[in-house]
Amino acid sequence: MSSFVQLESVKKSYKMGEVSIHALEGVDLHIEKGEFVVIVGPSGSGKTTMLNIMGGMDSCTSGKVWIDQTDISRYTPKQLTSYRRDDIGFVFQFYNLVQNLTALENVELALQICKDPLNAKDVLEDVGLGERLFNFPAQLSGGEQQRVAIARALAKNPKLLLCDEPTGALDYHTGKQILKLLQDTCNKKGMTVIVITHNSAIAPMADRVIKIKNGKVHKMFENAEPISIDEIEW
Amino acid sequence: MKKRALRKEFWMEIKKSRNRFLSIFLIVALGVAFYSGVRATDPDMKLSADSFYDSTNLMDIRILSSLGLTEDDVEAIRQVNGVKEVMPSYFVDALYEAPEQEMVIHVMSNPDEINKIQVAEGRLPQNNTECLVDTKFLTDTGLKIGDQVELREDVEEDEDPSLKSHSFTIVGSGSTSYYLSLERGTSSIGSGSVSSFFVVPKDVFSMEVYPEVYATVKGAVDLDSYSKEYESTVQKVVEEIEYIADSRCDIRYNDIVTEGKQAIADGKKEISDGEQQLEEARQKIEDGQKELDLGVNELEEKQNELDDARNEIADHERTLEDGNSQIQKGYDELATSKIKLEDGKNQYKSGKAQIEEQSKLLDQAAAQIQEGKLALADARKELDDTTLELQNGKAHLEEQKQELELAKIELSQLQQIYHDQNQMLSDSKAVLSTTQAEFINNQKTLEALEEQLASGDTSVIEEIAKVKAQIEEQSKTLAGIQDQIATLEPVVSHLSSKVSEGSQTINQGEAAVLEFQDKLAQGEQALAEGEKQYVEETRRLEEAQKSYNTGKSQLDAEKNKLSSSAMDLSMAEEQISQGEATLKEKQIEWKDGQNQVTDAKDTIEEGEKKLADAREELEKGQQELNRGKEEYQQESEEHTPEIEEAKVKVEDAERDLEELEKPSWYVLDRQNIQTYTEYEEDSKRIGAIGEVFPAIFFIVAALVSLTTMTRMVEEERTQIGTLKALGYGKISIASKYILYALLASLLGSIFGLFIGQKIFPFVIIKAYRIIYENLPVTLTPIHLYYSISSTLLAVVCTVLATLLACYKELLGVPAELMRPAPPKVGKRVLLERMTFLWKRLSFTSKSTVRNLFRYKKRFFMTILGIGGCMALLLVGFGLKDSIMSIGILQFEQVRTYDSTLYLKSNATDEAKQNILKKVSEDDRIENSMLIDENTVDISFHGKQKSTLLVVPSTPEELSSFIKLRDRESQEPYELDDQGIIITEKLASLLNVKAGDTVLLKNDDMEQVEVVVSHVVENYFYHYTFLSPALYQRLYGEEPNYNQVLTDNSHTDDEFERNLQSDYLKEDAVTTVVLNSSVSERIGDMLGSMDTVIYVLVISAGLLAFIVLYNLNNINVSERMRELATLKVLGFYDVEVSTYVIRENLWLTAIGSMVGLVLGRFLHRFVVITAETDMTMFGRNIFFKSYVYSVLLTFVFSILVNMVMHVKLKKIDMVESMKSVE
Repeated sequence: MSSFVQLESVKKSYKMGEVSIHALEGVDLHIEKGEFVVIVGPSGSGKTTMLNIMGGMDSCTSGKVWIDQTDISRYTPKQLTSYRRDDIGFVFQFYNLVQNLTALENVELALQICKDPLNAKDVLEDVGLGERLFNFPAQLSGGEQQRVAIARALAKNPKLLLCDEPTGALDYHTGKQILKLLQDTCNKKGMTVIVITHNSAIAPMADRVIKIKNGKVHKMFENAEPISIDEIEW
Repeated sequence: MKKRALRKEFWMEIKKSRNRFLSIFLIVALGVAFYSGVRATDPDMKLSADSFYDSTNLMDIRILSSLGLTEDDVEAIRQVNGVKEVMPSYFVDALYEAPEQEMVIHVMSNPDEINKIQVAEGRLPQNNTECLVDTKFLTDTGLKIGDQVELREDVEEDEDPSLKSHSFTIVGSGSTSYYLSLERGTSSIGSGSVSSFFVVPKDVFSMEVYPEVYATVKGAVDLDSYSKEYESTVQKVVEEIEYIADSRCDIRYNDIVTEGKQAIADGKKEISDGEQQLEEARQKIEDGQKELDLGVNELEEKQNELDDARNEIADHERTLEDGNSQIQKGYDELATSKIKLEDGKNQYKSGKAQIEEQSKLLDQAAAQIQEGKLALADARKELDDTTLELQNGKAHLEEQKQELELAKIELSQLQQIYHDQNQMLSDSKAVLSTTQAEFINNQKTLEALEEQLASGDTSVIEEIAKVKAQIEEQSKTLAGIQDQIATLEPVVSHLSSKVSEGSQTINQGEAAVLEFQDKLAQGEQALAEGEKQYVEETRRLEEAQKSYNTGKSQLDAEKNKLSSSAMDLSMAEEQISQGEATLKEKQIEWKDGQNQVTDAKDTIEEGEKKLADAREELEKGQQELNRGKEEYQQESEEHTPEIEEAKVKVEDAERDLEELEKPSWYVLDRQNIQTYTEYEEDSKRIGAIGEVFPAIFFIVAALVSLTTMTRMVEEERTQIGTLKALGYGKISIASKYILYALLASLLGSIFGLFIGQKIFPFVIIKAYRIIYENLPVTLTPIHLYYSISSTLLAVVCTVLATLLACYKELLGVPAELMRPAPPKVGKRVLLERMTFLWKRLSFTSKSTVRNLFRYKKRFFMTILGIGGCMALLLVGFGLKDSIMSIGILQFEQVRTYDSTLYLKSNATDEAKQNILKKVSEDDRIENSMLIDENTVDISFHGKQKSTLLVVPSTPEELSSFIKLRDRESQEPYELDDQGIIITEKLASLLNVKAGDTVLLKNDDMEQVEVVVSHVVENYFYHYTFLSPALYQRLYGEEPNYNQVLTDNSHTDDEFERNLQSDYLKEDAVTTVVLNSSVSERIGDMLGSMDTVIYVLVISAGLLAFIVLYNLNNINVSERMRELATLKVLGFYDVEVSTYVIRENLWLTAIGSMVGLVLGRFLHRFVVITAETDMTMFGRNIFFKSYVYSVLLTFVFSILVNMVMHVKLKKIDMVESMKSVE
């Protein structure tokens, strides 16, 4: 109960007409505060579902989800929204920036609903986009767009930063840079960062690695000596 | 099947995207319904009317003639090629006195073949005391079938009424297709507009000719009444009839002229007869008077005569008296005369003796004279001898001259002697004359004495004897003297011869010749003296002779005297006897006279009596004459005006006949039926609305379909790519979407056209049937044309839009297609460049602004949709405003007076003045004015409209009753004497501007030209204002004021009712019209437009909803990812919705603005199109209508947004994020 994030036999099933699909079949895990967590698993293993449940974007069919001593599994949609709004930062594979807003505005979009936001400009400078504040997403490269997305997530000053394949749409080097940014953020700000990836090569950089397989935690281990992303090659 | 999978996928797609399918279906259905429905209304209205016309066999042609139509005319029309049925008909406009008003009733003969009456209740009239009345009449008057009605004809005194009876029992009520609406046309009597019609049997009419003839045309019944085919079919027959009209008119004209001339001649004869009779009567009276006067004169004369007679009698009596005394005197005188006669006789005897003596004396004197004469003759002879000797002596003169001288001395001595001798002779002679004188004296004395004797004095007789003796002496003396003389004379003569001897001695004295000469001269002298002596002697003799003669004559005279006195005596005797006889006669006469006098007196008495009688008679005669005069006076007073009138009438008739123009036929088709054309216009008006409104719907529907389909294709981009990659052809891929669109639009069209063509015409026609209440049926068939055209249009639009959408995607290569479409690039908007403004905007506003302009297509589509909706709403509400406001504008701003008193057309000036007086004394009425209002036609450049001509008695006060002002500038105008002022609608219909010259025509077809000085605001009817002075100038007569406008102190119902009933009691007032009730009635009448308005509002709402929903749907689905992101970021549902709704509200706001502008223009267009000729709708939309429209638009928008909110809530973040665009 002391863990920052703790999932207890979380199950998730969808009904597709007559058929019931079980995405998660009882997941148990725990994550400590300030850890850089990498969740790996093949496609369809249920890692995204798990992330969504942790991020309050989805609710589980059964089980408990403790986030910072609070069980969100029985939250109403509205409570979940508040939870997302205040405690969670999301980074997606396809950035999901609002195309009609500039980099800065995209960050601000998130900030205006926040209780205790950071300065958008500072955050963007932190992610290395000090020069491109007023560019529209379409004017930015994929990496830059992902930095904006990260900045947007970080600016909210969330308890948890959830990243779903953040490098999925990026090339190798850019992906590395993004991962570095995330690792740095975690290290510098003590932010708990959970990254989903199907690339197990990056696992050594994590404080904790969780392997998912067929809707269950296949393996979870802590890495006492995580190495820098710069040292990882794949 | 090769493409079974595809087909399956197609149906799946529809199932999956029900909303999209439905939205296309609905928008197409709405568009098609509105389009086909509103457009079908026009033909449906016409069709409904046509079926009514056909079922009642409405006439195709109506023929009127200015002089009526005869049976022959009717027959001639029947023979015209193309004429099917002919029905001559009678009609006359009569008056019915309803308790509150005088109604004009159009009485017509029972139309048995054409214009059949649609009997609503009861039956048609069967005898002359029955009538069928207009259904409207029963509603207006509250009478029932079985009630009795009394009509009054408005005919001049000398005109014959056109109806034989005027009292009817109502046996039925009904309507005729001739009058579709409540309008019954105009009339020349009463208020000027017909309120109802009556149907009575033909026999009730006493007219000689038919005023009108109805006809139908072969084949016309099969054609649609308002169609061109119908018009041209009828027009052909109209022309045929017009072709025969001229010759028929000639015949009619000649008949009338002949008849008229005869009548005039008769009339003239009657007049002259009358005049003659009067003249005769007058002559008789005059004669009578003359006779009477004569009688009076005669009486007078008779009286005078009588008086004269009486006087005469008195005279006679007096004369008789005198006569009597004269007779008495006569007798006395006669006695005296007899005594005188005796004396005379005695004198005569003595006279006779004297005369005898004297005659003896005279005889002696005569003998002496004889002797003297002889001596004288001797002396003569001597003288002659002497002369001879003298002559001898002369011859010896020369020789004897010497002797002469001597002789002379001797001679002178001798002469001396001679002279002495001669002296002696002369003395003798003187004695003789003295004696003679004495003799004469004595004789005279004798005479006197004799006279004395005669007078009876016997004493003179002695004297007489003395005198007679003297006379005798004297006579002797005389004789002595005479003897002396006689002796002397020979001495003298001897002496004389001695002288001559002396001379001779002288001569012989031989002295000288001279002496002889002297002697001769002496001889001559002596001769001359001898001669002288001779002459003297002769004279003396003559004197003697004379005195003898005198004596003789004296004697004769005495003798005569004597004989005459003897005669006198006998005469006296006779006289006396005569006198006696006369006296006797006189006595007898006197007696007679006496008798006569008595008789005369009797006669006079009788005469007096007769006179008295005559006088009495005369008096009676006078009286009678007076009576006669009086009678004549009366008769003449009575008949003279009659005769005058008759004369005037005959003159009029003559003039009329002279002025009688050749009649002309008016061959009128249905276009001349007021309600027929009005209905057509209303129908066309809806048609006009149908041209505009459905088009908007259609455009919007097409655009919505386009967007929807575009979105659909875009959404399925990946699938298209996949199918392409799989090797499907473009057509196969596109066919899905095309079919989708086709199916949706086709189904929508079919649904729409059925619903539309049933509902819209029905609702609108039902609304119009409030006005055209006689229209019995509403036909709403499905029109093939509108169905197919609208469906085709809808389907083609949608399919084309789909093709367009597909085309773009189908061009792409599969690989590209399979990748998510690059999201729309964000852009800075113009506003951002205005940094100062942009900075002030909140973050969300900024994003909203940017978003609004991001999807331009959708932006414009939404604006158009909302704008269209807003415009429709505005038009709907505005139309209601325009229509409803005219009552207020008309009666609160323009015509501000409160009521009108209609005066009887035949009211006298006095009656009018009385009403005016009453009005001015009534403290309920604050102000009043007399006006003349009647209907005239006004025309300009061939266009003609009927207008109410208003002549105010005091133009300067008109503004307190009727405001003459410009609608837009509100500038007030004054009515001057230069021109007329006409109302706005009239001006626009005729295309007249201020300053143009128009023609005014009144009933008598006389027309005047006049300038239009101003055009003024007005909403009902057409008015033409004219000053009395100008009226006088144009028409040459005073206006006939027939209405009183009043401005009342109150306007509440009870007050007005009281006022109305008060004034209706006045004889001269026919109707009291309250503006409040007019306003109400107009409101009711226009209420039918409400339905049209509701249809518009509801349709607009539906349109707005569908458009907004559809566009929002697209909007949301397009931005699903963005919205999901927001959700992920922790935006609450409300916040997410607000994020979208804010944009929508902005769009709605902008759309509303556009709609306001669009709506204003559309409203103006619709108002002008929807106006009837007689009304002008308000051009303004009330502020509240803008508010309502905007609010309603927002309500629709919010409603849609609420639905959207639900939809947004349902957005699955996970799915959205997962999905690859």
